[in-house]
Amino acid sequence: MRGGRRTSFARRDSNLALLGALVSGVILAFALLLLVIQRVNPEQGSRMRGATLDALSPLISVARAPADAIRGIGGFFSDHWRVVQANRRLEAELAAASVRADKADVLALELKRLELLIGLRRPERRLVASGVASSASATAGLRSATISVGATDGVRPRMPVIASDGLAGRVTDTGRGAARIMLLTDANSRVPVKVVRNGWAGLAVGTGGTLLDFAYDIVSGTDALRVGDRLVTSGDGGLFPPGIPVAVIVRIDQNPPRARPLANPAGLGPIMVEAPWLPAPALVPATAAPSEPDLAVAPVAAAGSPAAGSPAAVLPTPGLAGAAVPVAAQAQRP
Amino acid sequence: MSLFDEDDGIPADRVRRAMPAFTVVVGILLMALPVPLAWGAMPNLALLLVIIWSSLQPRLMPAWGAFLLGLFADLASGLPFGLCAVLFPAAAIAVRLADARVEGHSLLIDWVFTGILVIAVHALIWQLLGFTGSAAPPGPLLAQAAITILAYPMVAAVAARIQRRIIDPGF
Repeated sequence: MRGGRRTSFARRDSNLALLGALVSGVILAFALLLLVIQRVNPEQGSRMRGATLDALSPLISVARAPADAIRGIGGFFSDHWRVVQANRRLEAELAAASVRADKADVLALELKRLELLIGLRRPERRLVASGVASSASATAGLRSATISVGATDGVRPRMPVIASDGLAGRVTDTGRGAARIMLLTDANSRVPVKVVRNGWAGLAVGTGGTLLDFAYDIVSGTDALRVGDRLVTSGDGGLFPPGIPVAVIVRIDQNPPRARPLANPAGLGPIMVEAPWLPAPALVPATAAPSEPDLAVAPVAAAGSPAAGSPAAVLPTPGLAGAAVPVAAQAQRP
Repeated sequence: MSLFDEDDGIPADRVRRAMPAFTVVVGILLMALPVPLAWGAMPNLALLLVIIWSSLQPRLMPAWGAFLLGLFADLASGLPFGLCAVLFPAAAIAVRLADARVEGHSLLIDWVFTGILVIAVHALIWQLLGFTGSAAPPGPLLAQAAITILAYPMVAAVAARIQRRIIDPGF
């Protein structure tokens, strides 16, 4: 009698254990299926992610306050220590810079006149929304931050995000009133940049750490990258508007050289979200251009037209002309 | 004794049962909060708590519970949907299998076992991030694994305190 009951209990236990193992297996299989779906369609679950962001954003803004305060205090003390030295240095720099600024004004005027002459249409930068960003969240393998504007403000995934010190990153997920941005330091971040001093173009590649890799092709044998060279967006790819400060080269003994992002991911502060710089081209049917007349027939016209004029004449699409000509125009800058 | 026996619905009992899941949710939220540091220097609290509760209170951290918590962790941190949802129940099951084979617990044994598990899970995160097309370098992930292992005794002490005070007050 007793033994029989014991075996029935034992049987029930083993059945339960079997059932438990089965349920665990089903759950694991289902979770793996979710991952496979994520691989096939990365957009899967983006709405739920957005809703979670909305739910978390008040919490994040509360938690941001002490972090911001600490940073503010730190900044106050370091500012106080450095203020005298900084003032002297800045005065000297200002004197030099004002001369250069005068020159730049003249050049800008000249450039504007030339652009009018060739009928260049430059795409406008368009501000979508402005808000504040939290500092980077603590998930390893993912460098992201949350911003306080979302889909109701017109923010969409892929839009560039610009902080006061420079480029911050791009939007990846949007909620209704909050959005997540991928920082420059994320391992999946690639930003087309160029060196301000000599115009070398390359990519600022995120590494997941604190610094960026500057991937570029050496253009000339006589010039070299220097520590302190500044990188700005080049506008290649059409996403980021050109001329936004991105990073400064800090190490050149490594290959690729390392650059430190100017917008500190630990404290982005106020940010602007802009529309992608170049709108996607709306294609219309058009016949192919006729072949060029022989240069020998009209030698005077060929010699007379400036080099920058020909691309604008051949490419009447505003997006393409905008992409092609700034490179030529910026190359003329000292 | 099944999971749902003699549930007279008194709130204290519900609170008691929900406690492990609640601590994991708090861990996830702490990890989603901004830190003023350039590296992801927060221990993986959610994973650590799932491992600890799977050992302390296996009935209150079933595989499906770990799965739901993993889904929430994915949504809150922006990781690929399903990543933690695979790894949390896998970790819970691994703890259960190990506990069924090894008699007795000591801090050192638990710590070593948790360490191995955490490193394995972080290696899998690295692999699965690559699988879902958002490849990450292994460095920061391993650094976080190391911080997580260092944080184990503290988190285990907190969990044991919650166990004594709330889940098993008569014990």
